[in-house]
Amino acid sequence: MNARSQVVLVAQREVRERLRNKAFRITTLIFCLAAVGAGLAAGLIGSGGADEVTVGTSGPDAARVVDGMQAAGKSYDLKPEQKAFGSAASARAAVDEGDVDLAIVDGPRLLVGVDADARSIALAQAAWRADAQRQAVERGGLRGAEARAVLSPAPLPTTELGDADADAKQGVAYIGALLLYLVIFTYGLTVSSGVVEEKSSRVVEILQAAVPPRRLLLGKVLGLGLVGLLQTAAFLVLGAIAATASGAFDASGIAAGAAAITGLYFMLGYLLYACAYAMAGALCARQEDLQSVTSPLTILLVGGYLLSTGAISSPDGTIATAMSLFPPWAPIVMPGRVIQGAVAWWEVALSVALMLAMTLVVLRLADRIYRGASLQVRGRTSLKAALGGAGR
Amino acid sequence: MLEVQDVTRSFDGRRALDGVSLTVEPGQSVGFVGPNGAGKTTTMRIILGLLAPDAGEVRWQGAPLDEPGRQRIGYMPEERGLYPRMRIGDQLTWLARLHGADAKAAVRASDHWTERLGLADRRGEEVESLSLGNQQRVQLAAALVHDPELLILDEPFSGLDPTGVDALAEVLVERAAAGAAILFSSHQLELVERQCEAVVIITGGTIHTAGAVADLRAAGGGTRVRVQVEGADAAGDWARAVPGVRGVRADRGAVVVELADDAGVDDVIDAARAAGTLLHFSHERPTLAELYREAVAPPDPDAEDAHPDAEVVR
Repeated sequence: MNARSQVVLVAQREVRERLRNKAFRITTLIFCLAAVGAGLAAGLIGSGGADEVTVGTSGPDAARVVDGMQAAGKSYDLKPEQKAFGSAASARAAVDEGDVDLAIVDGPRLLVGVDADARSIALAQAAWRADAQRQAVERGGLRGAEARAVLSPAPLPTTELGDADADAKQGVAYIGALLLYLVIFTYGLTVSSGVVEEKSSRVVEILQAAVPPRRLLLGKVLGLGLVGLLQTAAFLVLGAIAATASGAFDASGIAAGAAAITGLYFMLGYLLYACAYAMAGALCARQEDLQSVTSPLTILLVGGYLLSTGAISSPDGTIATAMSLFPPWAPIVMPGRVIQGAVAWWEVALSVALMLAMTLVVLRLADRIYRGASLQVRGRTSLKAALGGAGR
Repeated sequence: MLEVQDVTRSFDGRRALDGVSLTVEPGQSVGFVGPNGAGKTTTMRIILGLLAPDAGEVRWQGAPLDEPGRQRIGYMPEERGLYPRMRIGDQLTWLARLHGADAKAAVRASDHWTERLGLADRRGEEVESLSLGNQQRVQLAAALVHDPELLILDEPFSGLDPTGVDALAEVLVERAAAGAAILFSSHQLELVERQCEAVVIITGGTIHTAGAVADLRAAGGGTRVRVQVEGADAAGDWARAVPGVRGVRADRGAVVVELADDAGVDDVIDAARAAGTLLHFSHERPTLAELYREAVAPPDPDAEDAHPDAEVVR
């Protein structure tokens, strides 16, 4: 049986057993519901688009002005709605009571409540001016296209400077760093506790008699990584669907390149840390030892995450540049910098190469420790003993 | 044929194995006996490649045993272990595949062995929900499920109830008849004697004795006769003065007399007649248990007399 099919078999087992695990199913379900809930809630809270403004009217002139407001509302980030009243007095009462934000009554007069937004007043005035000008032009005998040419000349051509997607990109960077940190932490621990389970249940002896430890570890890391990736993707997709449905989120704002670079570093980072967590697991004989043995990794990871937020806000800083190149932090720090365009291609290539190299080194170490430590059942194995004397 | 050749291994400067050699032929069951810490488990782990020898090598069918070869071994470690939360059927199927069986054959083998070992209605249960005895059966199935040519079983009988012992004994006979080479360790010496054509006794990391059980019994321990004399003292003091007698002990109403060789047998008969009425006289072969005792502790007649009923060191 060749190496690849053994790795695949081991990975398959991890995936199948994970999916069969009741706790895993329940957690996934809860998180899926939470993702959908968060997406919907974002729609309710943020409401995304233009602010609504209710305009009371009485009389035909006033109604025409509101039509004009609605046509021009987009430039003011407002969405005017008309509420017709039978008389100027009832419109005035509605403003007083706050039922409408403003009212236009024949007279003509603009009634404004104390809380009225300056933008809506400006919009109402502009619409009124445009209406008056249109009437004057029509009285002068111009009609149709000619009138439109006078009243609304073609707008000044505009060039937007700066990156319109900057916010979206930074958002992707933040979410990417957070997810990377959470998934690596969760699944890293799952990998190491899986290794400890194999040691403490002693199944490791019949496994190692059939499969070299390297393949066991790699299969475990890949299988659990696949589950983690799918689980995370499910949360993201469900959350995005819910947020899109509720109008809080516009998927076109996310640059595909940003998502791709985050995904790449996500996988490389997971591989590196999962191998390190597997190595930590190989040093423990009981689940109780795990926390203390994995704590250096956890510190690296938490530190990387904390520093990544700084790197995202100032991607050109010296610390950010240095950290994004070196393996323990590169996967968390680099994507934010790449997304914001602060990185030369060789920096990406260098960090990827360093990460792959370090992953190989860690995998070799983990393999060696696993061989050395797995036949020793009791207690914690010191790093030195596992690497040195007990090698098989 | 499995050949362990001159294998030496030390742990932290302490020599655990010193020039250990043994062979197991296809179709042969070899019992591997010795006191705790003598090196049985270390030898088995070296055969499986779990430990590397400091010197010497393990050969299978004439060539050094490599990784593909090791996948043809069925192994039952002394410390049992399976995935506790994995279902029995799934686990056996998966282990068969890990040893190179294709998907269909793996399912077939898993079904076959669960059926054969009385676990058919437990296939869907998790291993940790089984009794220890049944877990032991699953462990055995795990060693057999890929139809191995070589079985290395470390204390396979320990922890089994009498039905389990019979079932395992039967399976081993069947596998040997099918051509498998079997090496198993055990402290149950009557069982080894019944089960194996050959035995290897290891003490302190070196092979003490190896060979066919029948030859060892014929060769070992000099000559021994069982004598029952009416009217003589029960301790058999009458025999102690006979020339050539190495040891005398009372055993279930008779006296067992050990002699250096057959030359003194007539003298023992004469002495018995002189002491009383000779009711019974027989020539005895030493049991494996006795050969073993002799191997692990040099003979000390006084100590043996103090425990005439101790038969097997368990």
